[in-house]
Amino acid sequence: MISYIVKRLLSLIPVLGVVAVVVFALVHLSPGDPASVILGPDASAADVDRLREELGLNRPVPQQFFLWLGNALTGDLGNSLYNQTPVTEVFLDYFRPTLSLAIFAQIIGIAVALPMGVFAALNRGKTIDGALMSFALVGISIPSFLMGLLLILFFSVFLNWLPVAGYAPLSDGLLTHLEFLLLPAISLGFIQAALITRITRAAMLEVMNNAYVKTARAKGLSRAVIVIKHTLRNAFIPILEIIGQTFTTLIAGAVVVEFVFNIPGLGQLIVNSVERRDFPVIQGTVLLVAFGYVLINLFIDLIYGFVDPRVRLDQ
Amino acid sequence: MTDAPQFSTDLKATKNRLKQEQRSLAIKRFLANKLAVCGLGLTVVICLIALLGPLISPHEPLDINPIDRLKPPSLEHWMGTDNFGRDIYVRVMYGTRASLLIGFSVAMLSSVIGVAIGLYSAYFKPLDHLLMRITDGLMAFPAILLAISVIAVFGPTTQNVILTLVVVYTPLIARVVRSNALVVKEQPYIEALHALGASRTRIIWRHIFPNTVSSLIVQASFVFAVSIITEAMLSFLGVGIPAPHPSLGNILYDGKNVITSAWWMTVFPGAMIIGIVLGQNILGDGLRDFLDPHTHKAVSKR
Repeated sequence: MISYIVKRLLSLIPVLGVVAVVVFALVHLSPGDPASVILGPDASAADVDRLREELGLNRPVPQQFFLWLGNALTGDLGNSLYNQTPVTEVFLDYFRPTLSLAIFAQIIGIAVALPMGVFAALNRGKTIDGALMSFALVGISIPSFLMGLLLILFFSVFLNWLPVAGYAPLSDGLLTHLEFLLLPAISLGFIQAALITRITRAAMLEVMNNAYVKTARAKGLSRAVIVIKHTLRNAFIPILEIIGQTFTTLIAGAVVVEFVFNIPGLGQLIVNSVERRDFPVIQGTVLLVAFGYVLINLFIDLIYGFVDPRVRLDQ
Repeated sequence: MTDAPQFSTDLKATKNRLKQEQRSLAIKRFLANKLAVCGLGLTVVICLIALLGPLISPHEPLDINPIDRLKPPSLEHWMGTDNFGRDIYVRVMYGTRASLLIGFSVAMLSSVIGVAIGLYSAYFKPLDHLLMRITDGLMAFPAILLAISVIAVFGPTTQNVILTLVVVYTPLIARVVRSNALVVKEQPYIEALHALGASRTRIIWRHIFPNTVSSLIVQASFVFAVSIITEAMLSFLGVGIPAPHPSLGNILYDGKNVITSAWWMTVFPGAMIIGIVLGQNILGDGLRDFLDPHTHKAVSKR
């Protein structure tokens, strides 16, 4: 297990390297001078020179890269050009609502999808299976932000039940927090649920054909025990895998859903930063989210290695 | 003496006939696959609507008419008008064209690049390590965030949107092609080709590539769908296709501000997005069943 963890950690280095190079290149490959890109076309030559000096743009590019990387590794991603606060601080402030939303949506997704997927697999080929699968197919075809707009139209405009948009932080009490997050989380959880339902059904079907499931049935175990202990448990790896792989889609979806519901999260941060040409914030946000993806997948790989010894020995 | 050529033309004719039969059999099998046919049908219908739709309306997508602003659907404006009095129907049609163009360009470009990366990295081990680490790194970025930052730096043009999406989605194609090619590479007939002295290029493109095409097509249809979604998101956030040019995403953005009074600005472009993506997803599922009947996983691997 320890050698598996070490191997897995070492394999992160090249991935993070690529991520760092791409994020660095983003601003530095821009046509023209990054300083004038940052300051916009109306800046005076003196201002541009001053910023070049400040950003260290007069040094050779590889040196700039390692300087930037060194700072990034110690958690210093520079300051926002808009209000001079450190980028990491700005990011964390805006990340909280996004994370809340993503987690809430993921919980809704899993809670709906597991029973639906298992049920569809157990009734393979019957009408109910067809109905659930058609529903899931339509579900993965509705982008979450569109789902959000349609839900607003239905619940807030047509039925007048819930607030159209807005946000209350966790400090206002859990219930108020969740009330404002309910529609956004359903919008985002819906597509996630559809996706996980499909994966769960496929994974269940694959496991159900195994001899040990037949053995369990022959032993006279109850249906519930067979489904939960013998089938679902072994079908869990592809399900976990998709949960890890969809982390980026979930965050990306959350960014746009937040924009729909006026939640002050990463979506608002990045849209505002684009308008303000606040490049350090944009760069830092992209870097940190990519980093989060890598960490989540590391964590999930470690869980597999723990759950399934075959994974450990395979690599 | 005259027998030999006679025999060879016979053989050729039989071969041709067999090929034809095989083809018609494949067409029959495809038509028997209801999912694939439905998906293809829906996609074709949407393409036709986007192509022909604007021709039957007297309005232009950029014509502003302040007197007629925010009018509900009527005989004059089939899908109503927006906050500038522009005709939503025509804008939705042009927006659909833009979406399809972007989806198609991204699917084609990332397929071409992804196939080359996938095949060569499956064939050359040292290259594999390098290329796969790069694709791992690129896959860590949420497409939308990377696209927003690229567009913030390089400016919001349709080309920049397409290029960024190609960068983000090429790894998805390369991965699938590579994993298929790795399996094919170990087959005895590839070894036989080596023994016969076939060149690497010939082996890779004539013998390994055709065996990866089926999963390539399935993955490409998936990339088509996600690029359309991502483009719609970008335009919705105001960093995609620059306004006043219509795209499904920026019509939705305009509609969001008046959602309490003008439902038609959300429902019609929204329905179009769902239609396009649903068509692609059904087609993708159907093609998967059709092209590899052995895999039971009717689920896209991301």
